[in-house]
Amino acid sequence: MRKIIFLILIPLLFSTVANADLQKAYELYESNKKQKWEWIAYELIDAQYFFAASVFAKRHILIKGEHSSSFEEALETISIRAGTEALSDLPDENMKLVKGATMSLVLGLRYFQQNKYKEAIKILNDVSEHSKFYPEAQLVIGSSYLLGPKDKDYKSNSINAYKKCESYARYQEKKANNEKQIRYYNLVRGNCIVHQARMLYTEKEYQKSSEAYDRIDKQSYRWPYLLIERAWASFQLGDYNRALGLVVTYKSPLLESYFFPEAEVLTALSYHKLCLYEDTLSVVDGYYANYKPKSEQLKKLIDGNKNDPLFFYNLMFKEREQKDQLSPFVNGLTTQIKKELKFNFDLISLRRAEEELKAIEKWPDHALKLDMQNETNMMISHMKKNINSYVLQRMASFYNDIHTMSYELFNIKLDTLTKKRDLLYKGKKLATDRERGSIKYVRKNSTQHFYTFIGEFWADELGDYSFGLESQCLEVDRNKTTNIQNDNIKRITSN
Amino acid sequence: MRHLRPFFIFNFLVISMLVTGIATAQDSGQKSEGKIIYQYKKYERFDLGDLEVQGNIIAPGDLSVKEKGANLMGRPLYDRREFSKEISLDVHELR
Repeated sequence: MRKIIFLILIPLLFSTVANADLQKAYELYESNKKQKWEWIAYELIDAQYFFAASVFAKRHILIKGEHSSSFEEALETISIRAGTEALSDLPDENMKLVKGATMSLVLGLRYFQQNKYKEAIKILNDVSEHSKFYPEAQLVIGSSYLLGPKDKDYKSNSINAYKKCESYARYQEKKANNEKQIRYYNLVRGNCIVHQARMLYTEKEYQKSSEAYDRIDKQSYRWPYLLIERAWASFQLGDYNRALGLVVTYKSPLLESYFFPEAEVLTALSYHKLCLYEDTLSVVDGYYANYKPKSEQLKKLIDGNKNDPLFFYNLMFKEREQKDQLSPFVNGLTTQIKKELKFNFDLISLRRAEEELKAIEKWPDHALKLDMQNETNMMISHMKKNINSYVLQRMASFYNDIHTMSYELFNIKLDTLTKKRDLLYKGKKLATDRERGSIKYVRKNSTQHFYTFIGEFWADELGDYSFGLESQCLEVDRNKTTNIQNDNIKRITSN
Repeated sequence: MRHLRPFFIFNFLVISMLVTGIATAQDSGQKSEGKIIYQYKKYERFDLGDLEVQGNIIAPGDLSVKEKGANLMGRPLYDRREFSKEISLDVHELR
């Protein structure tokens, strides 16, 4: 009984406290006090209105108000609960005047998006290692060194930043006191590892890169997207069987919404490197048959609706049957986008803002209520347009990928036909016939698992597949019997 | 003495002509000794059945492609050098 009374009283207590904070905000709004915007922001944060609080925090910055440690704390809370986007529409000049980790991160992200990498590094170096945003700041610094103008130390600077990002994200993950924060820092830590792997790949250190990719947990959000990058690392190491095994994981029913045109190119290239010409041509022909109608459907959808400010946003929330009517492929593509982090973060922020607006609509009539309704409505509208634009951009990017990869596959087909023709003219043939794979052609290192297919759950093996195909890149005179020990056999290098 | 002048002139002319004639006669005598006479063959016989062409004999239907020409069609196959696009997109995913 006591428990029930306690459970009833707690929300009532919170509601009373929130109303008291709101009452203070009303009074401040009507006052002429110099610091009223800053104080209203504090009251609204206490009452759990973070989007509304962001409006007053920005007004305080615009009038060049004092930047106290309390104000910095308020900005940090707003950016964590409402997202950095809520603070990002201020002019550069005003943001520069605010000394603190939050605005440094917001401005650093803006510079990064504008490809101003030097400026991004400079401003993000102001974020102290005691700040909650330190791991993210180091992640952006590492990426800025990698993508920006390169000096002699760019590589070591970049790797150092990524390592700091990883260790501080782990520290914040342990320190976090709620599940959401734990998951967020886990995600950031994963990002830092992935970026290290990518940096090593760019530097052609493929073995180290492959080992870094293997550190990403299978339960990570990012894991399915990274299969193709891991496959590229294996491909560059000459382990074409592993590359084929990694991209074939996308054929699993669990990963049916993850389809990438580039995976088909990598498959064709791997077969081509193993001189399995018939398999290569089969992949190319399959690609054209599969993606040509998809490309046409996608083009029709994009061209017909690209000027509608909310079509793609609304499309994401249509029933499966409605999307299937447009095209089953479009349905699959929307599912893929829905699983992307950026989409999820933006959607969470939007839903929070919508909930906040509903709560504001219940406020007693007042000028502050009207002001907040207008501001929050504008924020919601802006967020929806942003999501719409993101979905459209992802679909257009997918459409372009289909065409780019189609061109690359055409080249692979031409090269394969040329190699087959050359064999014929030289009076040669491939020394071995295409057979089923064998375990003797499977390579593995200490970070890769090996399953015996006895007693495991089948999904555990996803991402650890490897083909066991023998390379056929041996040629022999056409009129001679196959004997790889024969002196006439010459190993050819497939370019 | 004056009546002797035509006589001297006449003699001088006769002697000059004689000397020139002897010199010309000596010169033409030397040339006539080394004279070469060229004579072409009146005909030459070719045995067409005995002709031989060195090299590989190919059938008219055979095609030949020069290595250089064949390579012109090729171009480097797709290769992933970096993941800049993905790095950039990941940064946009923060918060």
